[in-house]
Amino acid sequence: MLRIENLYKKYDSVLALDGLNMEIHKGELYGFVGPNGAGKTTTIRIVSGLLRQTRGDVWIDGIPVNKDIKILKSKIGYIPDFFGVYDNLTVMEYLEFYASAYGIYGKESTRRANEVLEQVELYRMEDRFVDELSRGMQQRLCLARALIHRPQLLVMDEPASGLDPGARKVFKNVLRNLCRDGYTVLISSHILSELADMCTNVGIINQGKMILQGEMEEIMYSIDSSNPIIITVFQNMEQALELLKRHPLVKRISIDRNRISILFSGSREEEAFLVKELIDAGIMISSFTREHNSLESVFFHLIDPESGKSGKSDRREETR
Amino acid sequence: MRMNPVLENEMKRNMRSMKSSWVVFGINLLLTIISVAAYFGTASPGGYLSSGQYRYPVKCYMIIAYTLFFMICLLVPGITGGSIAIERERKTLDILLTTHLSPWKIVFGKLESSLSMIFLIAFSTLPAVSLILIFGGVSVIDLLSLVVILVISGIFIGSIGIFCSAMIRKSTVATVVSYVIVMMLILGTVAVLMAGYYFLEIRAQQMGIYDSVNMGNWIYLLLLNPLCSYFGLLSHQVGSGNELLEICSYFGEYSGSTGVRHMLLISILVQILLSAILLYAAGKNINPLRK
Repeated sequence: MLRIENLYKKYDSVLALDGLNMEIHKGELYGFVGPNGAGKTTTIRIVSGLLRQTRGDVWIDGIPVNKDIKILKSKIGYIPDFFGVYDNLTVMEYLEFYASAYGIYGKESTRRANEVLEQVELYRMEDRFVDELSRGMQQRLCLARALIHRPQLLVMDEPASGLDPGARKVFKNVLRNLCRDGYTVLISSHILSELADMCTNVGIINQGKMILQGEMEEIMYSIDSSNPIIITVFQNMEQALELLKRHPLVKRISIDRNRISILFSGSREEEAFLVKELIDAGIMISSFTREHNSLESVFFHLIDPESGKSGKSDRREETR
Repeated sequence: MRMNPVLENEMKRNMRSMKSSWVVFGINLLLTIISVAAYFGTASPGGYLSSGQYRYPVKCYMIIAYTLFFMICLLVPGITGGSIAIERERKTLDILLTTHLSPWKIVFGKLESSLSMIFLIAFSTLPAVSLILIFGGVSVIDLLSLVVILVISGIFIGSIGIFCSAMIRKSTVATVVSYVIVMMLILGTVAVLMAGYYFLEIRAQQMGIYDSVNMGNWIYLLLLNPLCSYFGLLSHQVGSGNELLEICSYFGEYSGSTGVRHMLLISILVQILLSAILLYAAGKNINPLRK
């Protein structure tokens, strides 16, 4: 649905995007993460046709962004970080105005407005004035506005910022439902826990470069693999410790009552063998889990938040 | 033909606010007070229908016409000066630019919206202004041409406001700059001519030259002055038609100049041309993909 290759954007002497590569497939809910100034908004503005890149290519549904801007505008629904609304307009008039901006008039625009209001769960709100709605409702209205012309790709720049937890939850559900309906969503956010909950894919950008991207599960596992494994022993603690000390892939052991924490450098298969060995040795274990990372810890693992520099190279040195 | 969505949206919102109603009411009230005061102030000694008093309704017409003009100079920069900058401030401009609306359609929508206000004001005051028809001296064509020139002046002033709004990010600054530019055009052009004339006159006296001083081509600064074209039209309607030439002759000998003799027409054309350039520049400036 969206492919970005070698994207560069230079503002005077500042290089905002430095050869960015990115790919989003149809139906994905792609979380776009990065520290302030990493290039998220610049990327989103280029994709939405609000900024011209210095170099590089962007394709939406196979069409280069700078080729036929009108067709591309039909394919994109853009939601900025700040949802400015017009006063003295009802919800229905607000949506009909944007429908007419896409060339949709009359009964069709009313039909579409009702349809998108249902999609974003704003029921019986059509006659309410826009400036009377709560912030969360206004944000969903903004989403409804972006859906009015039935785009294929929704591009959102930090849409959940400033929303209370309840409003965020509703917003998240709406987004999940939209993805289920076949929409592709690119969402940038700094609320990483929110993205971890709902995104199918994630891309981490820093200093204009994509430093990590892929399926959320894969990424979490790749980072988790360096985490300790926690074994809760129900019986035969001494025997378990002896076995683990002798095991060549176990690097470090620490004990907390009946919980043993080990640094294990093996693969998933070798993990499974270790469980089998413990059980065969007559040790009763009640749990065997690798400690999980949050998306936030992944983010901090890759990026040094203080300097905004990528922490990847530091990680490599530690490994060496 | 479909109405520009930006115009429709602006009109809907503007007409719902009490501000528009108060503006229309205020202007009509002001015009009524001014015309009644002017009429009775000048006509009362002899009675308004006594012989030789027909010039008083015409004077009232002029007062009403100038009041209307200054109202437009006062209102239009206020309406247009922040129009695009406000959209930018609340980030709705970005959203509009991602729709099928072209930057020029957005700009024209904003201009049309300010023109709709001018039409509203002009037409709401027409009944009061039409009273003049009872007394004679001004025809229906004159009244309509007054509306036309008001609209042209409104387009010119509105284009300046929209241009400033597109170029300047902050709406308040854009509005102030629009007012300053309009003031410069109306008062500044005349001030420049007067200052230049007195400077040349003093220099000529110092050099012992007693021929009349001539401002040369500087007189064409008046082509940029919307008041100049308005004054020219009114002079054709209720004067001899030579008043504009007479004013120009203060600054030199221009009786043979075709440009000065047709200043009304040329100034209208110049203002329309400048409006087109300003609107084009505004549209180009807000176009995110401009090269």
